[in-house]
Formats: sequence, structure tokens, C-alpha cells
Amino acid sequence: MTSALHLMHGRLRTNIFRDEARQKFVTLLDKTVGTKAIVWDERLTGPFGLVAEYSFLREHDVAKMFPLRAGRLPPSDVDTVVFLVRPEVGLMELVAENVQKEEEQGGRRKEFVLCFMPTGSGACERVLEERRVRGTFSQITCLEVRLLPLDADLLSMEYPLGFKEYALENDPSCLFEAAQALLEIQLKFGIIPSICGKGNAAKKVYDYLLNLRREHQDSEFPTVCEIDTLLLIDREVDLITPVATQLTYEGLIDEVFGIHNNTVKLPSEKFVKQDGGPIEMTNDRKQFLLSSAEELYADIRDKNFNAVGPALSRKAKQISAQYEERHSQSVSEMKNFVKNVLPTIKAAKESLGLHTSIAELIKERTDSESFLEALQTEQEMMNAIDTDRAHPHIEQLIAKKADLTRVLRLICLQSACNSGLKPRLMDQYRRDLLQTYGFQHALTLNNLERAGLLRTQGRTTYSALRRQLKLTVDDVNEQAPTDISYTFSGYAPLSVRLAQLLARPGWRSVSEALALLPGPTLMEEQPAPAAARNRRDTGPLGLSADDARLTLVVFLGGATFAEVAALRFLSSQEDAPTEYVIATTKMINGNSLISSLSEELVPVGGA
Amino acid sequence: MALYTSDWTPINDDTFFRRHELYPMSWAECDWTERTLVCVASSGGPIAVCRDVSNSAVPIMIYNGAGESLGLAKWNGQLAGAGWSDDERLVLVDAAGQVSVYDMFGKMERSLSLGQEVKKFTVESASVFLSHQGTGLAVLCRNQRFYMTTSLEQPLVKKLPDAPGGSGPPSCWVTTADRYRSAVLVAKGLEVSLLEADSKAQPLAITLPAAAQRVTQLVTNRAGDLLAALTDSGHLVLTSLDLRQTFCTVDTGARQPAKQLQWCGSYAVVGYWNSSLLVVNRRGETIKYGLDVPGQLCAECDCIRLVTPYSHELIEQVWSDSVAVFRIGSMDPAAVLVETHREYEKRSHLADEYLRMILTRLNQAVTSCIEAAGHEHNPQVQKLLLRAAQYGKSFVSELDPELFVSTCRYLRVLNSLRHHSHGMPLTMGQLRQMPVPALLDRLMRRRLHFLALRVCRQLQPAPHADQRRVLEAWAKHLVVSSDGEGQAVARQIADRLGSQSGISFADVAKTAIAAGKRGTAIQLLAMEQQARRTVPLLIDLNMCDEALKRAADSGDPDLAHSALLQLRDARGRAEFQMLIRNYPLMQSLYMKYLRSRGQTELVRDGLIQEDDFEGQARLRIAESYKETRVDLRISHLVAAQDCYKKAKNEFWATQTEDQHKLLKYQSSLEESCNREYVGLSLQDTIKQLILSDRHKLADSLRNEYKISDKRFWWTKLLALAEGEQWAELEKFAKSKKSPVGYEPFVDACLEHGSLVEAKKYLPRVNDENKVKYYAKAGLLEDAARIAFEQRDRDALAYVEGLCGPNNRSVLQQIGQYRQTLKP
Repeated sequence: MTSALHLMHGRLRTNIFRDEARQKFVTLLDKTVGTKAIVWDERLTGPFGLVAEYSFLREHDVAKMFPLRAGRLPPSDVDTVVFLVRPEVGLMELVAENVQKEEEQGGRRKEFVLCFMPTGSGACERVLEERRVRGTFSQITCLEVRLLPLDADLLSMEYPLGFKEYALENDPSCLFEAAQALLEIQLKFGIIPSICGKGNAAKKVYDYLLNLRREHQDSEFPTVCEIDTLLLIDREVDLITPVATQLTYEGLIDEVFGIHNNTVKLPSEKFVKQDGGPIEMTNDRKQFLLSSAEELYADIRDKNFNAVGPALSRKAKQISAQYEERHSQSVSEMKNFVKNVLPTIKAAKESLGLHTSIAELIKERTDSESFLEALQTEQEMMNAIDTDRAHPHIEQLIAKKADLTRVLRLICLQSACNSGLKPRLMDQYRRDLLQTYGFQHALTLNNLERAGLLRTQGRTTYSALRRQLKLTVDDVNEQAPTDISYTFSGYAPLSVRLAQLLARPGWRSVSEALALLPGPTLMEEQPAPAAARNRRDTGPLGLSADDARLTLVVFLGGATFAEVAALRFLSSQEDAPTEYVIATTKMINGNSLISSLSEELVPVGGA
Repeated sequence: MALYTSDWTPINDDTFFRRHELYPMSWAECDWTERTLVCVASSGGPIAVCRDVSNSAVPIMIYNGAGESLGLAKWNGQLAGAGWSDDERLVLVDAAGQVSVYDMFGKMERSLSLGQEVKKFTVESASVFLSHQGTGLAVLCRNQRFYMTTSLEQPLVKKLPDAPGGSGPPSCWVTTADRYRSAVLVAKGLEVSLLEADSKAQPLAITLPAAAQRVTQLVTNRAGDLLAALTDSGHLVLTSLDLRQTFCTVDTGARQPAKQLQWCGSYAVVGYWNSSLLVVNRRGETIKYGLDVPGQLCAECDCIRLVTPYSHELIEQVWSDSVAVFRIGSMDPAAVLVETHREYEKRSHLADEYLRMILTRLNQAVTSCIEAAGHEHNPQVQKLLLRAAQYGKSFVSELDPELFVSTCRYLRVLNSLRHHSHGMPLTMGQLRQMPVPALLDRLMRRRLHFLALRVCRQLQPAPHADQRRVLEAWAKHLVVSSDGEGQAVARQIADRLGSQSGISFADVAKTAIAAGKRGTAIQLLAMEQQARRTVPLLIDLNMCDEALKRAADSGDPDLAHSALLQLRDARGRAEFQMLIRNYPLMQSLYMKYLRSRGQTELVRDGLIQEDDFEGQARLRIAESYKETRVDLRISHLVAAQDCYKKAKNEFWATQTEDQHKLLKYQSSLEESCNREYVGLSLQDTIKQLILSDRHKLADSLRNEYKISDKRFWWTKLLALAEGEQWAELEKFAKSKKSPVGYEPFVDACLEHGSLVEAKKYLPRVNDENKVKYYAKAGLLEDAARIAFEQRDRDALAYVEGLCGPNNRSVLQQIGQYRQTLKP
């Protein structure tokens, strides 16, 4: 459990979510007989890696792990096969096929267990009935795990298609699960007295939450409220931030290499040990775990990338200074040094080496012409310069048939920053895209339109928002930031600005701007049970009275690392009116957002 | 004090038995004959009386303990046995092995058969007993075989092994059960054996007196660990069932078998002969009571009850605490405490004197008084003792109040239960043994909901689950027993309980539905908070709209899907689709469900019904990519175009049209020249044409699809560079002024590795980009020169930054330029 230590140091004991998930998982495994193979819904493998590492699973008789695929299961001689899936009808065909093929094949009898996460589904079981495999399962259960802690202040529901589901398909599943998760949080940390939110999804989650609370009126909520405010932010409210390029260190790692479940895969040739031997040559990519458990990373992850270099060299100096200290020491001090200080220095050095290499890799990218040009384009758009016309850089990218996702991100950004594109421009972009990349992207474009990322100009709101919410800032201090706009070198993420303004001076001061944003605005008080008291009234319980307030910001439809960084920046301010804990349906970036909405049609066979 | 001990009879110097009347019977069952069946349920349960078991026209009357009528049960056939189940249901067994179960109001609930074998041989006698698994039933058939089931809930009739001692009929048999097993004890002559299912008969070698010829009666106590056997010689043997201990053998003097023989708790046996009751304790000491009317004994865990036509009596050994208090001349501290309190009430100074006598043993005195109060049936005496205890308590500093408090609570409950209208004569011991939920069940079975609720509040300081159960049962009873299906009942329930009581209105509604009370059910469902429970019932009630609304509002995807599918099954597809169209959320969930099941045609039906042309178009487009034949792909796209037209979406209509035209064109191209075109984008098609030197076709495509100059130039120059058709590229560059500038030419040439070609276009690059592009091409010297010519110091610095160690000369040059540029 050492790997989860860093989770315990936050304001909220997020580690209990991890412990609980682990406990539930173990209970599930131990209820089944003999050796087990787990067949994973692939979207769950990564998140579960955070909770239960492979060695841990092996201790509980898990011999094999397979991804859920069509066709037959790979051969194995286990006693039980456990399917661990999201409750989606589409997956059931695969499960049914797996089971049928396995039964046909005969041989050793296996037990089959189906486990839904987080809750079961009658519709799914019906599919299994129709396929006549329902009876083959000795157990159909569910694993009620809704929240996984990515860090001490960051919880994720790991619901990758959430935004698509509610924005495109009108499917509220993700929002209902979010409401359930919030109920769970309140059952652990007390009723949250004040609930604010913006956007349609926020309203829905609020409504569902009210329903759920009514249904759970008998449940006992803790008497101390640890969280003061809940802020629900619908991704639809802020579609600028996710498509813009994040410029924090962690954000850039995510943009360039992709961070999935706190791990990043990097080209391995960059990472050779100092003695010359490579760390691992089996793959051409090497995997690294990134978390605040690593002191240096915790320090630099949220810095603007331009401030990372200086920070790294400062660290290098500090380490060598520490190392030099050993010369002026007595024998006993030396002993202590070797025993206690040296290992930490070594670890720090390794960490420094790692991040120096990562930073170099990223710098290669950020120094490239294409990156700089794209960045300049983004900056122009955010500052609303010439957003009415086709941007030459975009035109050029299309002509060169550059990576489609990159192009779409820029177009979506232009759409957002121009309060929608002029109809002619919209048509031009769309036509150019179809003619260049092919008609198979028609539905992708259509989806972006329907989800609101790509739209024709309606009411012009951006300029007013930019002014009222100070979305762009001219003099950004990237080294020692004074405003959240450092995360995008000049643009302050709208979502986080809303959170900041909510805490001080309050949303009433920006009601005009709020009215310009889509969806209803929520500002509700939640009556706490009579027994519940506010944390601050309970001085004797060891909590100092001047403890800062705590706000839980929930990003419905996904959050970016830059937004997380910005909220952490706000938390860390000396006169911060509140600290923040963040929950999201999933960590996203522009690429993953666009690709979640993409629907590239692939022709079958040849003509 | 003689008053309190008037019904005591000593069995030895220190022990007394007490026989006292619980109720005078208020029934009119006076003439009991040989043919009268009286069946008393244990733990103060109901009493069934059938005046003539040989005549099935005579119904079985059911009474409570005080003889108040509860109901009557009609029966037929030939009665072979009767008894009460553990949940107070009357079980009748007829000779054919048919078992009927009635509730205590005489309503027949169900019947079951004991199987073909029992039916074939017919039942000689039967015994209903409390088994280790609930209610057991053992029968002796005319083939002298025993059959037994240990549970009536899940009956599993098993044949018991043959009893040793010949094939003749047994001289007597009895059922017995302890916590782990149930069995039949049977005697044939002097041979007693224990029969258990799935094992051999186990002989019991009881030491019997020499005079005995056969055992005429056997009985075990309620706990199933003690056995009493009566022989034809009139000897009664008391022993433990495992035979490790034989307590006594007593000559009763009676020569004929007892009418009844029962254990009284675990300390004595009571035998009933014609006009007397004989009590024999484990030490062999006896008391004889007279009995001048017929009676029926009922064994309890701590006493025995006697029901006669006129009264309901209780016989028990007097508890030691009661002896201590009430025994004549008792100087026990408890007795003194009672006297003390009496003097105190009289305001007599003697109170103080007495108190001093027992001051050191006051603790014990108080405890005894409380315990004795618990065993009293008369509230006056209870009060007397409790007051004395309370008085004594105030002089003791360290006394756990728990005993006093709980005794008071339990006595309140006991006194209510014992009231003749409820007729449940429980003792303190029985009540304390009974789990509260079991007691509540018993009260609810008697429809005494209010009493149950008050018992709940009395015995369970923290309310919840049980209280809710009682309220729910009450509501259900009200729903079922009310007339009509009006809404008044629902309102009454709501008024009484409010929505905060935590009861499940859905469960009550379910009962209402089962009872055919639709109106009430609907009203009740409106009060239920849990959508998950409500929605399926609403569908059952045909309240589809309400169901859809509730399901949609809940947001619960599982519930929504279940509701959709249940509704589709119930109403048929066509009606179902009309129903859900008013609920966009449900509609879209259903569509998503169909999509994920790959049911395209149903999806289309839905879209057509909703006039969702764009949706239909998207579906067509997706379908077109699933076809392998070009003509089919085109026909899907034509259909899609049509849909877009209907949706008045010009842009997409045009694009779809362009696409299917392009497909057609591409497939004709494939025929004319041996190359794959189908599936390429327009730009790639043009590029492919250019690469294969079909410039004319490329131009015509460009015109056809109105590709802008800029984009065409881009496409063409990139294609030519890719094909390294340098001459063609140059020709193209010179054909007219490039709308995209000449930078792309340089880039394209450099990308395909031709510096020579790139150089051709460098001079034509825009001035502002020149430095950058020369530098890009690696011509640093030229770049520096141009920067100098443009007098651009920043550009110079830019070039300088690009110089490496191999560019010494350039660096020098830059240095010179800089000198010169100095103002």
C-alpha cells in the first residue's frame, strides 16, 4: 500500500476511495472459486491499475488477464472466468460470444462470473437471456466503485465517453453516476451545504442528486460537513479550455505523449541509465508513473513549461549542494548521511534525471515550427483577432492534410472564440475538410456540430465574456504567476475563472457574464440534517477554527490537467478564500475530447 | 400475607407449585366429549376446538387464550391429526395424507400432500410439532411406517427407518426436536427407539421397572433433552434423553394410561388422569391436584397451561424470588423490604427499623423484588413489588438500573398481551426468550398493529426497521380490508404516516394491486420516493405515461432501460413507440439501445416516426460505408441526400451529392485506368490524377467541385513535389502568379530533398519571409545578407542563433553587418 501514501495528505481523505475499491474487488475475487482469469472491459484495466496492481491480483489467485474481444477467449486452465465490464448493452454480445465459444469447446468446466461496474443492468442481462447464456453464469454481481483517486485532491470517475453521451446522445447515464458518486462523497464527508453550478448537465446532476437524497433519507450522513461548497461545471459551458493547448508541464506531457491513469509512455531510447545500460529494452516505449508521491514532480507539474527549466536547474544545484555537505562531516554524521540522506539524494537525482529527459523531449516539440505556429494561432483566436475569417494557418494545415485532430481543435477553438463561425466560413471549413480528408469524416463533423464544438455564429458572447471574466491577460508572469492565466500563457481557463469568482467576490458580481454562458445557473443551499454541524463550529475536534473552506469542483464531461493546475494554484494562494478538491468524469485533453466525438466511417472490404 | 400464597402447594420443604387461573373462558364450549378435539398453541397462542372430529360438518372454532372467538375453519375428510405451526397456523392432516393450513382466523391458506405412499397406506395418526426447521409433521401410516417432514414451508417427506420390536403397531409414539434435529420416539412393548430420517433406528435402553410390560406413554420436554416414560404398571420414569442421567422412577398408582402426559418446563412432569393431575418433579416428589372437568394440557418452556371448558389455568413451580418474598414467615431481605415499604406507606417509624435490618443486603432484596414482580400476573402485586424495589433502590448507591427499567417495560407489554381481548398469556421467561420481531409478527398476524407499534416503542429504544415493518403491515391490512378501491384509504395512510415514515409505499401498492385495488395503488405510488420500486408497478397498472416520466426524471439508466423493455413487451412495438415519443430522453435511450444491438431497421422506424430527417441521413451515410458494392453505396448516399433536402440542410445535401458523384466518377476512373480511386478523398483523387499525368482530368474535377485557387495550387504543388516532377512543378509555378505564395514551393522541395529545386523558388518568396526561408534551406550566408539588406537587426540575430561551429565565416559576416548597421 506504500504507493498510495501520497493520497493521505490532502484535505480530503481520498485514499479511502482507493481502499474501498480494493476491498470490494478483493471481496468479489474471494467469492469465486479457485484460480481466475479476468476478462476486462479495456476501459477499466487502466483505472484498476491504480487500485490493484498485478502482483496484488496474483495473490488473490488471478492467473490470467484478457481484454474483452470478439471471438474466443485465449486458452487457459483456470477455474473461474470473471468478466468485468461497464453495463453497456453493446458489450454483452462480446461476453455472450466468449462464453458460448468456451462452452462449445468443452474441456475443463469453468465457472463464469459477470461483474458490472458500477451497477448492474437489466437490459444487459436481457441480452444474455436472448443469447441463452444467462444461465451459464454462476454469479452476476456488481462492483460499486464510482470514484478512483488520481491524487490527493483529484478524483476521477473514469467515464471516457461521458461528454459524448450527454451532449450528443441525450443519454444521462454519466450524469446519474456522477450524482451517485456525489451522494457517496456526502455519505463519507457530510452534506455539502452549498451547491452551485452552471450548465444543463449541472442542473441535471443537481436534480438527480436531490432525488437520490430523498430516496436515501434514512441513510446516516456524517455529522460534520467537511466540504463547504460543491461547484458543478458542465463541459459545455467552457469548450475553449479543452481544445486549447495546455502549457503547464503536466498538461504538455499529456498533450504530447498522453497521460493515462497517471502513467505516461515515453520513447525508451531517451532513458538510459547513467552507467550506460538501458533500463529496459523490451519495448520501444517505457512506462513511468507520475504522481505527487514524487516530490520533484509535485513541485513542477503545475508550472508553466517555461518555468520548468529554471526549476530543474535549481533542483540540480540544491542536490549537489546537499551532496557536497558530506565533506564537512564527522564520522557519525557521515554514517547518518550514508544511511538516511544518501538514499533520498539518490532518489531525487533519479527523479531529476527523468524529468530533465522528459522536459527535453517536450522542448523538442515546443520548439518546432508547427507547434509555435499553432500556438500563435491559438493566441490570436483567444484574443479575438481576425476570428471572422479563415485563418491562413488552418487553411495551410488542411491543404497539407495535417493531423485531422489538430486541425479540428483549432477550428473548434476559432468557433468558440468567435461565438460560432460565420456561415460562409463554416461551410468553407467543412467543405475543405471533407474534400481533403474524405467523406468518411462526415459524421465526425456532424457530431462536433451537434455537440456544440462547431457552430455557426449566434449571439456574440465571447468578447463580452473575455472582458467581464478577464479571460485574456496581457502581461503573464510564467515564472512566478499571479493569475491562473499562466496555465495557457495568457488565457485564463473559463471554468476555473468561474470557480475563482464564485469564491470571491461571488457570482452575483458576474451575473451578466453567467447569463451569456449556456445552460441554467445554480445557486442552491442544501438543508443539512439537524444533527449535522459545520466543521468550523467544532473547534475542540482538533480542527483549527481558521481552517480554509473547502470547495469540491466537479467537471462534468472531463477536466484538463491545466484546469487542475489552475485550481491548485488558487488553493495555494496565501489569501485563498477556499481550497479545492477536484472530481471529474475523466481527465481529458483536446485530442481525447475530439476523438471521443469522432466517428470515422471505415468502408468494409474493397470495392 | 396468606393472600399471596393461597394458590401455592408445597412439593417439598422449600419448593412450591402454583396453580392459578389466567382467564375464565368466555366461550360456550362446555360439553367436551371423547370426540372433542382441543388443540392449544404453545407460547400463549390460539386454541382450536372441534366439538366432534368424527363429523366434518362441525367446523373447527378458533379462540384466543381467553376464549374470545377468532374465527372458524371448515374442513372435510377424516381428521388424523391437528396442530399449530410455529407461525400460528392451524395444520390439519387427514387420513389420505392431505395437509391443510389455515390462518388463525380460519381462512384456508394452502394445502399440500404428503405423497403417494402416505396416501396409499393412509394415515393412522399424525403429529404436528415444532421442529428444528420450523414446523414439522410426522405421521404413522397403517403399514406401521413413519413418514416425516421437518418443514412445512419446504416440505420434503422422508420415510423413517423401521422401529425394532416386531411388525406390530407401536404401543405409543411421540415427536421430539432439539435445536439440531427432529425425530420420532417410538415404543413397542418395552423397546423404545429413536427414529431419524436417513439413519438407522437408535434403540434407547431405558431402565424400566421389572413390573412393566410395555411403555404406554412417552414425552420429551420443549428443549428436547429430557424424556418421561409411563408404563402399563403405572411407573413414571424421568430421564435425560441421552440416558446419562435417570432422575427418578415413581409409582403413580394409576393402572390405566394417562389421558395426557406433558413436561412442565424442564423441572417436572404433569400427568392427567380422569379426575386428577399428578405433578412429579425430577426428585420424584409429587403433588396431586383435583380436576373435575375435562381439560387439555399445553407444555411451555417454563410452565404448563391447562385449558378446561370453563377456565384457562397455569401451573408452574414458584420462582425462588417469589418464594423469598411471599413465603409465610419469610425473613428474607426481600420479604422485609416489602414489609418496610408497607410501613413506610403507613408513615410508620418501623420502616426505618426494618430497613436497618437489611441495609447490608438491600441490593439482593431489590433484585429479588424486581424479579418476583416479573413473575407475577396480577398487576396489583406487580406494582406492590416494584414500588418496594423502587423504595429500596434509593438506599443503594450502586445498582444497575437496567433490570428495573427493562422489567417495567416488559411488564407493560406482558399485561397488554395478557388482556383478555388479546388473550396471549405469556410469562416473563417466554417473552424474554422471544425475539422482538417474532413477537411483532405474532401481533401483526392478529391484526393488532397498534399494539405492535406500541410494543416496538416499548422494547426497542432505537426504532426503524421493525417499526417500519409494522406500519407497512398496517397499511397493507388497511388496503386489503377496506371496501372498494377508493382513494380514501390512500389518503388515510398518508395522513397517518406522512411521507417521512420510511415505509415503502410501493410495497403497500403492490398489495393493493394484488387485491385488485387500482385506484388505491396509484395514489400510493404517487407517494413513493424510490423510482426503482415505483416504475415497474406503474407499468403493471398501465400508467405508462407516469411510469415513463418517473423513469426519465430519475436519470437512472438501468431503470430507464428496464422500463422501456418492460413497456415494449407489455404494449407491443407500435403502441410503445407512440408512447415514448413524448419523452425525448426515453426516446433517445431507446434509440441508443437499438443502435447498440445493431437493429438498424428499428432505428430507422423511430427516426421516420419522429420526422428526424437528419438522423435518417446520418444512418444512411453510416450504412453506405457498410456496403461493398459501389452502386449500393451510392444509393444509400442518394437516400441520405434526399433526407438532407427534406431537413432543408443545404450544405450537407450538397456534400452528400458531391460525394456520390465523386464515387461514381471514381469507379468509372477505375474502369478506364487500372488504379484504385474509390474511397479516396477529392483532394487525393486530384493528386492521384496529377501524379499519373492526367492534368486535364484534374482540372475538370477542380472545376466541377469548385475548388478554390488556393487549395488547388496547394494540392497540385504538393502532388508534383511528391512525385518529384520538378519540371512540371516549375512550369506550374510559372503558369501564373501563385495565390499561395512561393513559400510552399520551397517547403515542398525541401521536404522531398531537393535543395536545387528549392533554390529556384527562394527569390520569389515574400520579402518578410525571405530570411527565414533562406535559413530554412540552410543558406545562412544568403539569409544574413538579406537580413542586412532589409536592415533588420532582429533577423540578423535570428540567423546568428542558427549558426553552429561550422559557420564561423557566417558569424564573422554577421558581425560585420552589425557593425555597418550601427546607426
